[in-house]
Amino acid sequence: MKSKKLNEAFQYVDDNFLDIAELERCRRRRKQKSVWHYGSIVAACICLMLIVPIGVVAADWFGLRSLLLPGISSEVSQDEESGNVDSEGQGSVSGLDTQVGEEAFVAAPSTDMIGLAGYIDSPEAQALNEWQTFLAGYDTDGAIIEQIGNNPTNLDSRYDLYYVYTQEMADKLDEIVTKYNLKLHTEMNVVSQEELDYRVGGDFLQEEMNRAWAYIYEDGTFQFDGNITLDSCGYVDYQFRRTVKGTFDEVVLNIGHAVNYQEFQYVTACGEPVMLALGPNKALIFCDFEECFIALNILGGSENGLTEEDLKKMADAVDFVVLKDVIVPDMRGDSVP
Amino acid sequence: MEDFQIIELFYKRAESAIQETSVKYGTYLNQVAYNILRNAHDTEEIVNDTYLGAWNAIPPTRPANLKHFLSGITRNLSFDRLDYLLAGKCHAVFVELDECIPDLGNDIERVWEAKEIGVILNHFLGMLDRKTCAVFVARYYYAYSYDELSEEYGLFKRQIKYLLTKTRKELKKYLEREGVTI
Repeated sequence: MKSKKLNEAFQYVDDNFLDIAELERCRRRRKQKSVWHYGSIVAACICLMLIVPIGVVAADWFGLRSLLLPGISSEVSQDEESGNVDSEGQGSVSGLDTQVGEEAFVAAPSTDMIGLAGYIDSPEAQALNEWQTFLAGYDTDGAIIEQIGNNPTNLDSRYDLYYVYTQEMADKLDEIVTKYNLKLHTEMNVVSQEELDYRVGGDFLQEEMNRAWAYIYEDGTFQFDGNITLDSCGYVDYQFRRTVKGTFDEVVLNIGHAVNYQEFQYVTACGEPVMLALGPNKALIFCDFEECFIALNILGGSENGLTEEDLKKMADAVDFVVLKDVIVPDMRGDSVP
Repeated sequence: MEDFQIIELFYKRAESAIQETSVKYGTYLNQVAYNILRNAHDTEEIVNDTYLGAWNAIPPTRPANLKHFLSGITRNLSFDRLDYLLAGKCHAVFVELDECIPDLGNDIERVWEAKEIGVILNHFLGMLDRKTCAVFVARYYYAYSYDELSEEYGLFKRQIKYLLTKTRKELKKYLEREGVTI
């Protein structure tokens, strides 16, 4: 049998590779040992994990409100003494409204927008907020883009992956990117599920989460759509996005009103803490890592029968361990026509 | 005792060479044999046969790395024993390795020797990242099961499965590119 010969060839594997196999095993064991050695610290951490979420949700540290883009969200006023929230969005005027004037304020829907690049104190989110604020006040009557029509913009190709159609916009984008020390995306490929797994370094999604093709950028940022069938509410669509830090990303998400969401902190099956946010018509699962921000936008909510348990199930279906450490993808072109 | 001292004992034909080898590497060799055979009785026999094999080989051989020299003997003997025990049936490792066999054209000039393939295999392993290399070698040299790999290397079982499938495909491509015929 031919495979036996190949097996025999393993007999000649260099000692260095055998050592690597041994050392990697030992390294893992040392890690495990040290964890158990410091059992009391682990116990203390578990206690903290039980206590902290109450505080986290109460103060909304790292919750949905920490993702809001103040420049383009309807302001949700909060009475600091009572903690009551004005869900009608008639509180103080947001930065965007101040800039674009009363007419835009009236015309704008009173909804909240979040960034998918990280919490608002991150350079990525601040850059996004500034860019979206600029966009909201630029070419408000659409006259410029109407004039351009289908004609080429003659802008440098490095702006191709952004919503930029004038030199003024390009200059503003450059200014923001420089200010926050970020890069621009340079390349995007459309890839199959298997190709995406290869490029991100492994299979990260359980089979019950159906998914379509994805698009992936040169830094490892990617997005795809999918669906799942849940016992409680049946078929639900979702969007999955990983945004890698260090590159400017202009994607925003309309979430209705943040105040209408119930939020929970949850530690997934793979051991990573995530935030779950369940709204009436939409739900979110998101988590912030050192190298990336991951968000699942679920197109269904409590009014559709979606429950906290469903969100936990979906969160458990994702292997965040594979995704949190970003590897530079092999940009070998599109893999789907 | 240091390896060179044990090797000296073999050279002096001192029976303590076996004892010292057993003290230092007995557990390791047991693991190597057991991973393949999954049977305590056969494992014990194979490890004893390994000591005998080392006794016959040293001298004249002077192993650069005694541990891996011994594991090579254990592995060979274990797979031979497995062949006998399975009576023609296939071990899972062989089934998986079958996926790496290059597609042959009609112009086969010669069949490569295992040692020659080993050289190409080493080039291939040298191109892998450390973790992938470790898992790949652990599976196909040490014959760890998927569950054991998951436990030992701190990865999910499906990550292990994915990583090995991907690496096997890459190995097949690499062997094809190098013109290896098996």
